[in-house]
Amino acid sequence: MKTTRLGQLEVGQKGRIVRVGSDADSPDWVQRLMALGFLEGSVAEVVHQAPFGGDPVAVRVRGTLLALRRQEANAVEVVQYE
Amino acid sequence: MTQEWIALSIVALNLFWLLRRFYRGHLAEPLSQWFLKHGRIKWAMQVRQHRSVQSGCDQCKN
Amino acid sequence: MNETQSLQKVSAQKGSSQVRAKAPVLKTIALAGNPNCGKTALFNAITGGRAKVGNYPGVTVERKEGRVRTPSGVELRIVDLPGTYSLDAKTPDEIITRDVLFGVDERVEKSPDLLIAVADATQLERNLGLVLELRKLGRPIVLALNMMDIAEQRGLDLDLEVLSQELGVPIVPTVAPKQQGVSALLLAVEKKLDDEALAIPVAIFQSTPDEIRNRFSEVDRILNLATRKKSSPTVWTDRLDRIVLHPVWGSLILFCVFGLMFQTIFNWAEIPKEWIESQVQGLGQLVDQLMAPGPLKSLLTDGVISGVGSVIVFLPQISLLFLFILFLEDCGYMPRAAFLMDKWMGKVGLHGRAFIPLLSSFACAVPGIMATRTIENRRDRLTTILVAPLMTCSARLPVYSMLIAAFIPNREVIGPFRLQGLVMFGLYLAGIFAALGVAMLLRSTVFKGPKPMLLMELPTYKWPDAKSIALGLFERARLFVARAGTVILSISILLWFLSSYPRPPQGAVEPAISYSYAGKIGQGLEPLVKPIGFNWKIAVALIPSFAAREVMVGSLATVYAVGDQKEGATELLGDRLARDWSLATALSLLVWYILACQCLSTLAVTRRETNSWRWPAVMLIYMTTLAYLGSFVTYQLAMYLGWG
Repeated sequence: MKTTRLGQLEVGQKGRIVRVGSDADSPDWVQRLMALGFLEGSVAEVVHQAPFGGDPVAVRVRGTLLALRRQEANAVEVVQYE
Repeated sequence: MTQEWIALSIVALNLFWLLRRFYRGHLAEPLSQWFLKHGRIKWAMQVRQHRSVQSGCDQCKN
Repeated sequence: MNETQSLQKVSAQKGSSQVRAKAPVLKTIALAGNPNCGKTALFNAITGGRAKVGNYPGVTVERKEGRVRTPSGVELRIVDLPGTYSLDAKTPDEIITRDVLFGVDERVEKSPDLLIAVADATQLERNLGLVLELRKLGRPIVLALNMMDIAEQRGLDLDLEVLSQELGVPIVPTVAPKQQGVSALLLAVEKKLDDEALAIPVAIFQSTPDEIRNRFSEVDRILNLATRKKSSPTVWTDRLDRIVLHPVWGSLILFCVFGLMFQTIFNWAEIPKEWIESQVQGLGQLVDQLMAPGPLKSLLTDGVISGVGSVIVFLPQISLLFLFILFLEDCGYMPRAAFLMDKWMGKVGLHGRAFIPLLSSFACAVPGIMATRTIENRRDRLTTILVAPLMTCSARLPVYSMLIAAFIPNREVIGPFRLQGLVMFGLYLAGIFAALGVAMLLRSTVFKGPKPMLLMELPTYKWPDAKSIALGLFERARLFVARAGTVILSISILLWFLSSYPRPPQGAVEPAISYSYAGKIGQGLEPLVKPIGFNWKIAVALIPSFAAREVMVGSLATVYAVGDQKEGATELLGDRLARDWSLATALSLLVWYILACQCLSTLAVTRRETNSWRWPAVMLIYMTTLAYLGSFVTYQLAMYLGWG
C-alpha cells in the first residue's frame, strides 16, 4: 500500500492515518498532534485550503476541524483512499 | 471669590482622587514587592492591602 | 457562616497566601474542558456573571472565579480554567490549567475539591479524551455534556446511563446559553461532594504516545457502547467555509467585512452622535445662561462639559465597533480570518495563532496581550506582545473619528464606500501593517527563531447568542461612560486648572492662557514638536494622553475652550480645530496616534506578563521613536504637497 503525507493531499481527499511523526519531528509536536486526534486508524480529510498558495490547510479529524500548515501536516503518514 | 474657592476645592479634591487611584492601581503592587525584597515585611503587607486589582484597561472585559 | 466570612476576609487580605481552615470552608469547584466547548458560557450560567464568551480558541486566558449557591443553599466557590486539549500542557495557559488541576499552582489557595468536566456533545470523539485524563487525577468529577441542543438537532442519540456507567462519572446534559441543566448540575455536584468525604491523593502523570493511543481507543470503545445514533456531520459549517475560505471570495469577504465595519461606524452612528452633541451643547448653553461669569462657571463649561462631553459623543461609534467585534468573535469567524491571514503572518515570522490576540487588540491591547498566553514559544510571544499596541485599539477611535470628520471631506468613492470611512479603514490598516512590519524586524534581528507552528481549531459556526452579545455590549458601553466620568473628568478638571492659573498680570497683551502653567509647559515643549507640525496646545494635550490616549479629545477640548476668550462659546471641538490647524498637522497627529504608545494599562500588563520592567520600557521607547519619525515624515511630506 502506498503511503503519502497528509500535507500532500488535495482538497477533498481523505487518508487513513498509519503513522504520526517521523524521527525528524520533535516528540512534543507529535504528542500534541496525537492529543488533538491524529491517531493511527483515524481518518483525516483535507477540507479546505487557504488562498494564494494552498497553505495552510484545514483538516478534519475525529470530528474536529484543524488548521495547520502543509509542512506540519507532513508529519502524518496516511494511506489515501477514495 | 466664592466661585473661585469652590472651583479650586474641586480641583484639589480631584487631584487627590487622581493620585490615589494611580497609587492604588499601579504603584501599590510594585511598592509592596520592593518592600518585601528589602525586608520590610510589615510595610509590604500594609501596602498590599492598598492594591486595587484592575485588569488594566477599563475597556476590557476581564 | 460567620466563620466563613471572617476567613474570607483574612484570605482576601493575605492575598494568595495559604489559609489554614479549621471549620467548614467554601469548597472549590473547577471547570475544565477543551477550548470552545462552551465552558465559559456554562460558567456564566452557573454564576450569573457576565464574563466574555467567545467562539474561538484562547479566549479564556485567565482563570475566572465566582460564587454560586446550590439549590439547597450551600455556597461554593467556582473557578473557570483555561481550555486545554490535554493535560500534556504546552502553552502558558494550558500550563496554568494543568498546574491547578494537579494542585501545584500557588495562585489558587487550595486545589479544587471537585471538577466539572465540560464536554461538547457534538465533538465527543475528541472531548472525551480530556475527560478520561481528568478521571485519572482521582478527584471527584461531574461531567457536564454541553451543547446538547445542537447535538440533538444533528441527530445524536446517546444513552446517558451507559455513558455514565462506562465513564464512572455522573453526567448532566446542559445547554449553557439557555441556562438549561444548571440546577441539575449543581445538584449532582452537591451529591458528589457529600459522597466523597476524603480527598484521594492526586496522581500526577506524564503523557506518552502509547498512553494517548490507549486513551482514545478507550474513548472509541465507550462511545460505541453508548451511542444509539450518531450525529450527522456538520454540513453548514463546511458549506459556509467553502465561500469564506475561497481564494477569491474569501479574501473579498474579509476585506468587505472590515471595510463595512468602519463605514457603518460613521454612517449608522451619525444620528445618535449628533443627538448627544446637541445635548452636550444644550447643557453648555444652559450653564452659560444660569451662572454668572467666574472660575466655577469656566470650570464647568470649559473643563467638565467640554472635556467629558467631547468624549461622550463617541459612545455610539464605540458601541457599534464592539457590536461588530463581539458578533464576529461569537459566530466563529475570527479563526477563519486568522486562517486567511496566516500566509502574511508567516512571512513576517509570526504565529498564525498570534493573529487572534492581535485581533482582540482591536478592542483593547490589554486582553490581546493577555491572550498571548496561548503562544508557547517565548520569542513569538514577546514579539506579539510588543506589536499588539500598534493594532488600532478602540481608544483611538474618538481621535480618529473627530479628526476625520473635521478634516476629510465626505466624498463618495465607490458604491457605499465614502472617503471618510475609507480613511478610517486605512488608519486601521496602517496599524496592522505597522504591527507586521515591526514584527518582521524583530523576528529577523532580536527574536530570531524558527518559523512558528500553526495548529488552530476552526470551531463550527454558530448563531451568536443575542443575549450574551447584548450583555457584552452593555457592559462595554457602561465601562466607556464610567471611564469618561472618572478618569477623563478628572484629567479635564486638572487641565482646566493648569490652563487657567496663574492668571495673566494686569495689562497683559497675549491671550490669558499663555501665562498659565499649561501655557508655559506648552511653550517649553513647542520647539520639540514643531518639526512634526504640532502646536503648543497639542503638546499640552499630549501629556495626559500618554497615560490614556482617549483623553486627548477631552484635553484638546478643554485647552481650546479655556484658550478661546469668547465667553459662552460652545463650539464643537472638531470645528474649532478645523479653523486652527492645517491639514498637515491633522495628518501628522493621526499618524502619531497610529504609532505612539499612549496607554499606561498596556505598559502595566506588559510588565505583568513578562515579569520585567525591560519590555514595557522597550515598548515605550520604540513606539515613541516610531511615532515621532512617522509624524515627521507625514508632516514634512504634507507641507511639501502644499497642505499646510
